[in-house]
Amino acid sequence: MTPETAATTEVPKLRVENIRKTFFRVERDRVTAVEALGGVSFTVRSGEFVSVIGPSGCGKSTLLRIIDGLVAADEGGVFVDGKKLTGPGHDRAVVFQYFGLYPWRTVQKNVEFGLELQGVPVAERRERARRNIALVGLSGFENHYPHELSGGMKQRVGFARALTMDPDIILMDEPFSAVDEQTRELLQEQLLDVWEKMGKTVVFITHSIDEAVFLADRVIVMGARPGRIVETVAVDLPRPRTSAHRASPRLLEIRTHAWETLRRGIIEAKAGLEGVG
Amino acid sequence: MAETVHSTDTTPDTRVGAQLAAQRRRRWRDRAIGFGAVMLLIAVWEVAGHMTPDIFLSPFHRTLIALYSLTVDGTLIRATQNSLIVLFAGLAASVVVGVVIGLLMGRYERAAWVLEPYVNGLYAAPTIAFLPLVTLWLGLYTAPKIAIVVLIAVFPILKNTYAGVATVDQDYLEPAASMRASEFQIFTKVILPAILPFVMAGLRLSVGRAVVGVVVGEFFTRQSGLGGLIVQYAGSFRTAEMFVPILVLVVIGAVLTSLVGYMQRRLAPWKESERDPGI
Ligand SMILES: Nc1ncnc2c1ncn2[C@@H]1O[C@H](COP(=O)(O)OP(=O)(O)O)[C@@H](O)[C@H]1O
Ligand SMILES: [Mg+2]
Repeated sequence: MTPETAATTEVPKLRVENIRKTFFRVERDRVTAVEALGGVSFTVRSGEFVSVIGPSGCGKSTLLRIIDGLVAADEGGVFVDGKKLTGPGHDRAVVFQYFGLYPWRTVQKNVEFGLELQGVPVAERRERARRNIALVGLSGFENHYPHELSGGMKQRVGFARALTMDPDIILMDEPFSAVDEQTRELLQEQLLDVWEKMGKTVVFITHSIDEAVFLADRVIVMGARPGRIVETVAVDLPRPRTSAHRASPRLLEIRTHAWETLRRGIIEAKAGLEGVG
Repeated sequence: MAETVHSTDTTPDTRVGAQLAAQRRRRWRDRAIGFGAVMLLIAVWEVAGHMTPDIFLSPFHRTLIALYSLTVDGTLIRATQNSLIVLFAGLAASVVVGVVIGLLMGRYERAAWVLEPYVNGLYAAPTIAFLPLVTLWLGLYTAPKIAIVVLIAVFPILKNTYAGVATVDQDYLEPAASMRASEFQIFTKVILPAILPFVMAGLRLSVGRAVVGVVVGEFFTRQSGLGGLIVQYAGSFRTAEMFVPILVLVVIGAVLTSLVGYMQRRLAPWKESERDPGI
């Protein structure tokens, strides 16, 4: 067997197969159907970093929720290591756009939360939480409450909580969209740093092309109405990536290509709408 | 947001400090005004007491003297103890009943459908109308008095809990579901802490109503406690003494209400900060 065929027969860490999801909205006596996802399929290799990008409302968050098991798909399936999923599991953890922290819990207690639910002994969960709080650079803030932290810090608490669950796959939904530009770049670099160290599989949703390209091995470009994959763009930039790569000609080239793909998806969706209307 | 650089991550916002100082000043001014109003009332009471027959109103200083002698001979202490037992037992039962029913109604639509007519009906009904029934069922001693307190005081807690559960949104439930929390864990670790500020706000309203419930119970079942003293002194036209249990009831109500308010702020510091300028 050549290395190439070995790679293609390898079971992917995550396989999303023909996912469809339609939401029905009831307004007075009218029911409108929103086809959030119209058949989405892709695979992610173990340890791979994949970004998903697309216009607002194209079903990115819905896709992430379906992968996590929070929302059931109408059709299709999600497979981890070839096994079909039926709901949330400890093999996946989400970093939510809205942080998802509990205001009555300290940073330490928020990060421990998942382990507490699993009944992990106090000493162990304290230690594991502490380690990940340090990893995201929040040592010294263990006893702070979320309302005492900035947006960027809250996001890192959410990330530490996901890491503490020790999942194979980390699902991130526009995690840096609520922080300012400078903080965002630092958080991106920190995320890559942690990812290089821990070797997790990451699915990272964003609406920023720069962010998607800088972070990922592959960028999945989605289009709207219905939400679908327009194209997958490979990012063949070397690792480890540093801020120096942000201005590299190759990155700009890939970025331009991704941008054109994204535009095509938006224009097609508009045309489709006009055709219907 | 846009103007901040990452170093602001750790430095506290100075506007928060200024805001807090202004808030503290306002609180002191409010207290001074309240104190002045009480002093004015006492002065008017003293003067008016001298100008009217003692049966209607005796001067404030006579009530002070009565306060002293009733305290020394133990009458007031015993009555206060009796009333406080009823008050605390009634409030405790109200919290348990109100939180449990409010949680069920807030979390399960069917429970709300079944319970809502009863809750609204009882809430709207003049609770005192149930008093004869309560005494018939529970007798004349402590149990019916506690029941009256619950009937009157349970609703703010219940309604606040119910409303609180509705505000527990997906932002709290989704992470828990993602981390595979059981239904019981969602109740104890997400919903209960999230609604605690609402329960405390309800309890604060309930305290005043509970004091009313205690007095009603003590008037109309077997007379006892501070309410019993009021009836007894009113019946013998001892107006100066009559005001002693009334004053004690006022103080109990006020102290408990502000105590619950203090606990409310201590237990939910993030609710305080929501009113501060955003960071
Ligand atoms: N729970 C829901 N009920 C009804 N419609 C929904 C729900 N969740 C998402 N949608 C709709 O599905 C579409 C995709 O939403 P979403 O996945 O949040 O998109 P994105 O994250 O890409 O902005 C939108 O039109 C949105 O209004
Ligand atoms: Mg979204």
